Order: sequence, then structure tokens, then C-alpha cells
Amino acid sequence: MIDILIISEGTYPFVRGGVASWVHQLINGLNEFTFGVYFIGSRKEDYSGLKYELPKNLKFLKVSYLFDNPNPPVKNINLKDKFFKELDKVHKFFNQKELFNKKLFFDLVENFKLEYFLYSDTAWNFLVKEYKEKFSFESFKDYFWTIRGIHRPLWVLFNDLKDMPEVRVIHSPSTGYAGFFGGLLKLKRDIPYILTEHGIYVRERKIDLLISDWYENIKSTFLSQENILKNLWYEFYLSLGRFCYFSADKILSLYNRARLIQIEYGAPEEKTEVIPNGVDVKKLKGALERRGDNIPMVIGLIGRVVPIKDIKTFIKAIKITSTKIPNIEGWIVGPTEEEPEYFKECKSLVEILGLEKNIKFLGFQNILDIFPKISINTLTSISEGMPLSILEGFGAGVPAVTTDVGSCRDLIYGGLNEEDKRIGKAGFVCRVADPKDLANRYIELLTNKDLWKSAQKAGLERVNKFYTQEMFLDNYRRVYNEVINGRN
Amino acid sequence: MAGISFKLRKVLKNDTLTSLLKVYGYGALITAGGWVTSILTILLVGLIHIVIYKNSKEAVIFQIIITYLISLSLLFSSFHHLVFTRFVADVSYDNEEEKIVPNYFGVMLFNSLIIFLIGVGVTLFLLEGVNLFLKIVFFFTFLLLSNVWILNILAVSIQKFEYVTFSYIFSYFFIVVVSIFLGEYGIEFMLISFFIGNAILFLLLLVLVIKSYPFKNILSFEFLKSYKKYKDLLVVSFLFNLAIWIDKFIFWYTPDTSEAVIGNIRASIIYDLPISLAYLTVIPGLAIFFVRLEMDFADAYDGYFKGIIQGVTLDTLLEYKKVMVRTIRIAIKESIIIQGFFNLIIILLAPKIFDLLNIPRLSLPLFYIDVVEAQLQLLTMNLLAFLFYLDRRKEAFVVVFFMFLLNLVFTIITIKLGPYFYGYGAASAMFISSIIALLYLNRVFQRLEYETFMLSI
Repeated sequence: MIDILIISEGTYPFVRGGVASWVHQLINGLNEFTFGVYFIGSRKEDYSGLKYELPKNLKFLKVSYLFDNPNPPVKNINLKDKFFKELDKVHKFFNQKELFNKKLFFDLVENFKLEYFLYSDTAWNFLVKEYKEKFSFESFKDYFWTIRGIHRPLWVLFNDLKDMPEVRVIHSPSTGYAGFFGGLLKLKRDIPYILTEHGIYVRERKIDLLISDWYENIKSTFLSQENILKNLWYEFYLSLGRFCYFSADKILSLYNRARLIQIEYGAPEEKTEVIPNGVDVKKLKGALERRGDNIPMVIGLIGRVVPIKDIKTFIKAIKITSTKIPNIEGWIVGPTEEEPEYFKECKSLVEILGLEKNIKFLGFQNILDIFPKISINTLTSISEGMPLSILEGFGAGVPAVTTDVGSCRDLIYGGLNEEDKRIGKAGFVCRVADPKDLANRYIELLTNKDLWKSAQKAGLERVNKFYTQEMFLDNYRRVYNEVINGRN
Repeated sequence: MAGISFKLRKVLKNDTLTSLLKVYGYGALITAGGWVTSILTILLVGLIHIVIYKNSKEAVIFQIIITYLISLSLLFSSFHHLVFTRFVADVSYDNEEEKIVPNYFGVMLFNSLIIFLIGVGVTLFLLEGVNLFLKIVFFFTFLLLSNVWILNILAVSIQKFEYVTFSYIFSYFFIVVVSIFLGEYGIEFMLISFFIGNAILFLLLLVLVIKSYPFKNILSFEFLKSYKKYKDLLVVSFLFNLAIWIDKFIFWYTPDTSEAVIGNIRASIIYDLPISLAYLTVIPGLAIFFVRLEMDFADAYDGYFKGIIQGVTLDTLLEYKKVMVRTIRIAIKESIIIQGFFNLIIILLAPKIFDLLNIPRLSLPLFYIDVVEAQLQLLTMNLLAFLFYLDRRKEAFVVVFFMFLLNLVFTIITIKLGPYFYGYGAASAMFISSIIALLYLNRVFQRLEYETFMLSI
């Protein structure tokens, strides 16, 4: 019997990142509980092994890939429209037109096999019906393949239900396919299900979809058509999200603004709660002590080299900063393998702007070694939740300059309550994709020693008062015990 | 056969009546090709012998030997027809045309090996008690003919119609002329002239093939992979040819309806001639159908699948499908109408033709039912062609299987029932087979989108 089963979509333990570290922190910190992890990845070749040392209280690890399984052999399946009515009802539930029918739903989950979806007359007739009702002016071929692509991964999840061990609590750090699986398991076994959203999945996927437009050759005449089909994906993610909110017992977020957005997207208010992230201030104090007396002209960006982190804006900001501070250095500390194309583009940009001596791609590093050497901890992302790296920077005495996304404003200017506000500014918040704004703040902080010192002081105070690891773990300990005991 | 429509269209561009007739003529040649020419030649040679040599007995024996040679060589090399065509089509699509010639030689070797083994048995059985000389000539003609059929497939795909037409006409003209001179020396020499004529034809076509396709290697057995992949087509082609000949075989080997000719070769005086003539009458229908298939249906088919790739709406796709169905309807309708018109002429002229060819008028009723049978066979072949185009191999197999089984069973029944019923066996078999093919075709079209999107790889 496992206490907590964590559903990890593309993060822990095979990918490094904010959410993955968060999971690692949770499992290690709450070692009175036994944990299991169900990792849902894209394809086997996309991952290169464990990125974290598995804690001793992690007793179960199952790995599945959503896009790896081969199709069952093609064969003519004539169901004579069996399951058609059930499909219709369940589909309407996901589109908010019908109430949930558990029996019908699990009848499909357990009996409507993948080969039925791919080859049967029922699936075909249902697909054509939906097409005629809502998309009859769209390309049928595109509609057909989009629907297939969206739904096919679900069968990996349906199949894995039976492989899950006995658990007390299900905990998913995202909606999407992972959250959906959590809901499935919860409804099947009638056990508590906790959802923690780090970013709003649907918004991030929307950004992904928008960004993917920038990197494709835009077929202008067909752009509208592509939007309609991209809408299909978006609507699908929305419905997965709604299903998570529907099935979860507790819906957690990292900061209040996120919680309000959840409610906007359909989360029942009484299920919601804010539990902020926390960092290990004791360990970070060591990094603080290793600082020198001067302010090194180094700005660090701790994050993966991917489009959502908008590394290019950072590179441009460094260029502008270098006009006032010629020896300025920008360190990009994070894995570069996730999006090789984007990494190539960033390197080209560095070359074009002549910043080879200023910009360094350091790859994954131990942040405790990095923080003592940098003076500003920056994030130029288009979207963030509650970035642990900012809090860690504060704990190591490094002020932050970030874009105004997610909870960054709350972290840097104080947003939990009045006391938090009185602590003061631990850095600056800038406009998204505005290298000039960022550069101005970089220069301001680096050239004004008093300003920098007060920002450092504010950051340290804030993190020690509100964002420690102990508080974070205590909160989750409480929540876990609540749901476990609430059952007894 | 996909590219042939392009060439045909070029001819049609002249838009005159002669070009139209030319197109249909080529069409007839391509489909009926060797088979028709052979039958025509047989009749021609036989006629010449009757006229010049007044030795009608030897001419008749010669004709019958040729008929056996043609039917058996077709039958035992039929395995290759559909599958090798498929291989050539696949290889052309992949732009690997340099594989065609070496694999053709591979097929020829493979085929010759099989025919060699079968041929020995066939020759010894059929020509039991006959002199060795005739046996040898028979055996080698058998071997040669089987390779001519396979080469014909390849030659036709090159689309140099004038050259192919010329090759056939020249070779068969040669046979006729030489047999006039050699004929007085006996059947063996008539057969030798037939052999030499076909050898010339073989060489002419071979030259065409080697000149038209580039190749580096000389021999390749890569085609065996295709043969494994399309093994159902092997069975289909064999069964198809067997289905067409089985009624004749039965008539030949039923004592009551046949007589010995030479060795174990038998013929059925009542049955053979009417049916050969009947087959000649379907040439117009065959030609029309072929042109419609290669041009209109091929276009509509292309349109449908291009539509899918371009991403049209479902309604538009269904419209494209309607066009496809329409071309099939037109093809069948046209061939029925033209053929029907032709039939009328035949029926009116038949008595006179029979008198001319010294055939008893008693055979006229049999001839008429044979004409009906030939039409129905034509119809079934048409429908099969569509099924093959749509790659419905399982359905084609069922149709061909029933063609064979019903022809076999019904023919036996009609023999038991007596002379008034002769011919109705084959006709009913073809009728039922065409209905089966039609039902399948109908079902295929109903499910076309479903199968295209969901069930294709």
C-alpha cells in the first residue's frame, strides 16, 4: 500500500525543472509517507535517464509513453454502432452538456478498446456526426487526424489503470493527461485526489500552440483553418481541466491570482486553497556566506533554454546593458537539449549581436555554486507559476529582475499580505518581451550599491518569513493527513 | 497501366473520328492483344489451309493444337500477370525503373523453370503416342508462348502502341505466310512456323523493353518479395484464367461431347467453334470499356484521392465519389449499348457467316447463348478491373472463385441435361459472378471514406 501516488507528466524524475524539483522536495521532505510516481512521457527517445536520485520512500515507479505505442493491426471492425450512444453521452459530459454517468463512463474506459477507436464503424460514424455538426466547413482530413492525435494517448492511460498499486491518495501536479488520469483513478477507486497546479496547463498549451505558429512557415491563406483545428486541441485541454476540477477533492495553487484563475476556469471555490512553494533556506545560507564584498557584473538566468523562457529577450537585454556596462556577463544556467532548434537560434543571436564574450551557456549547474557569483537573478519568461529559482536566489542573497508573469510580482514586491508588502522590493518586475525595460533595471541595480543591498535584504526577509521549505512541507503534511483521515 | 491514359489522351486530342477509332483500337489491342490476335490467326491459318490445301483435317488439328497451347500456356503463366504488373507499378512509383528489366529476366527464368517441369508432363500426356518431333516442337512452343504472355504485359506498359501493333501483325503475318509454304509437309511444320512467328514477336517485344527501360544489372530476383506480398493475386490470376477455360476443358474431356484429335488432345466440335466466334464479338465492348477505365475512371479516382490530400470538406469528397461512380456507370452503359448494337448485327449476319465458314446452322442457338456468355464474362471482367483498381483483392478473389466453381459445376450439369442446355452453364456462371462483383463494388463505394481514412495504413 502506497500512501501518495504522484502523476508526473513529462517531469519528475526524468526531466529537470521547477515542477520536478518540487516533486523531489516533497517526497524527500515528507519521508514519513511512502510515495509512488507514475511518469507519463511523450516518447522513450525523448528522455536520457534519471535526473534525480530516487528517495528511499519512493516505493513505486511506473513509466509510460503516450506516443510510443504502435497501433494494433488494422482490421475491419463492425460493431453495428454498438457504444455509439455511450460515446455520445460521455462526449457531451466533457462538453458540459450532460451530467456525469459513472457506469457509462467506465463501461467505455474498460470496453471501448483502442482498435475500436481506430477501426470500428461506431468510431467512424461518431466522428462524422461531430464533424457534420460543428466542423463541416473544415478540411475533413485535418479534422480526422487531429481528433485521432488528441484522443489516442488516452488509451495508454486507460490501459495503465489496472497497473496502479493500492494507494491512499492521488496527487497530480498538473491537469492535462496526468490530471485526467488522476481523476480516472479517483473515480474508479473512490479515493482522495489532490490537484496542485503549477502553471495553468491550458494557458501554457495555448502559448505552445501560438508559439508553434511562429516557427512554422505561416500559410497565410490557411491560417484561419489552422486556428480552428488548434482550437480543437485547446478545447480538449480545457475539458480535461474541467474533468480534473470535477473529480479532485482539493484544488491547490501556488498564489492567489492563480487560484482566482482556476475558479474562472470552473474550479469550485470550496475545493481551492493556496500553498506557496518553499526553499531550503539553511542550505542557501551557505551560498549567501560564500559571496564576496563586491557586486560582480554578472546576471544569471536559471532556466531551460526553451521558447517559453524567452531567452532571446534576455540576450537582447544584455546587449543593451553592455552599452553602459561593457564587461557585463549573462549566464544562462539550464539544459539546452530540450529544443535544439531554439538553442541554435539563441546562439546565432549571440553571434549576430557580438556577445560571444558576454553570454555564456553553462548548461545544468548546481545553483549553490552559481548564486555566489551572480548579482542579479533574472527570468525573462513569457509565462511562469511560482519559480523556485527566484525564491532560492533570495535565500542566497540575490535580488531578482523578472517579467511580470505568474507570481513574480508577489514574490518581488510582496503580495501575500500587508506585512509582506512592508518588507519592500526585492528587485524589479518588467514588461514581457521588453529588453529595454529589463536592461534599465539591470543597470539601475548594478550601479546603485545601496539599492542593491536593500533589495537583497528584502528578498532574504521575505523568503525566510513566508517561503521556507518547512512551511511548504508542513502545509502538505496537513493536507495529506486531512484527506487520509477524513476518509476514516 | 496508369500512365497509358496520358498517351491515349494525346491521340484523342486530334478530336477527329479517326483518332477516336484509333484510341478504341489501341484499347482493344491492349486488352485483348495476344489472345485475340492468336485466335484470329488460328482462324486465318485454318481458312488458308482449307482454301489452298483443301486439307481441312490437318488444318483443324493444327488449330486445336494451337488452342491447347494458348490456353495452357496462359493458364500456367497466369500467376505472373497480376503480380508482375503490380511489381512494375510499385517500382515505377518509387522511381526505381532500373529494376524492371533485371527482374523481368528473373521472372522469365522462374517461369521457364516451372513451365519446363509442367511442360514435360503436359506434352507427354497430351501427345501420347505421337512422334517425337511433334512433341519437341509442341513443348518448346508451350515454353515460348508462356514467356510471350509475360513479356506482353511489360511491352504494353511502355505505351509504344504502334510498335507493339506492328510487332504482332508482322509476326502473325509471318506465321500465315510461312505456314502456306511449309504446310504441305505436315502439322509439325505448321507448328514450327507458329513457333518461329512467336519467337520473332518475342524478340521484337524484348528489343522494345530493353531499349525503353534503363538497367544496370541483368538478373534480379527482387520480384520474389512482391510475389510473397501479393500472393493472393497469384491465386486470383490463376483462378481467373482457369474459370474462363474450365467449361471448355470439361467439354473436351467428356466422352459424349468430344472426340480425340491427336494423342490425348480432344476437341468438342459442337462447342469449340461457336464459342471462339462468340469471343471475337465482344471486342468492341472490351475496347470501349478499357478506354473509359483508363481515362475517365482513372481521372475521377485521382481526383478523389487528390481531394483527400488537399484537405477538402467531406461534402466535396462525396461529390468526387459521385463522379467516380458516374464514370463506372457510363463505362458499363456505353459498352453495353455499343456491344448491343454490334450484337444485333452479329445475330442478323450469323447464319451467313456460319455458311461461309462451313459451320452447321445447328450450332446457331449455341452461338447465341455463347455471345450472351461472352458479354457477361466481359461485364464480370470489367467489374473485376474496378475492384483491382481499388485494390480490393479479397473481393476479387471471391468473384473469381465463384466464376470458377460455378462454371465447373454448371457446365457439368448442362452436359448431363443435354445439348439444348449447352452453353447455359457458362452463361449462368458469368451472370451470377457479375452480380456478386456488382454487389461488392456497391459495398466498396458505400464504405470508401471509412475504409480510406480508417482502414488503410
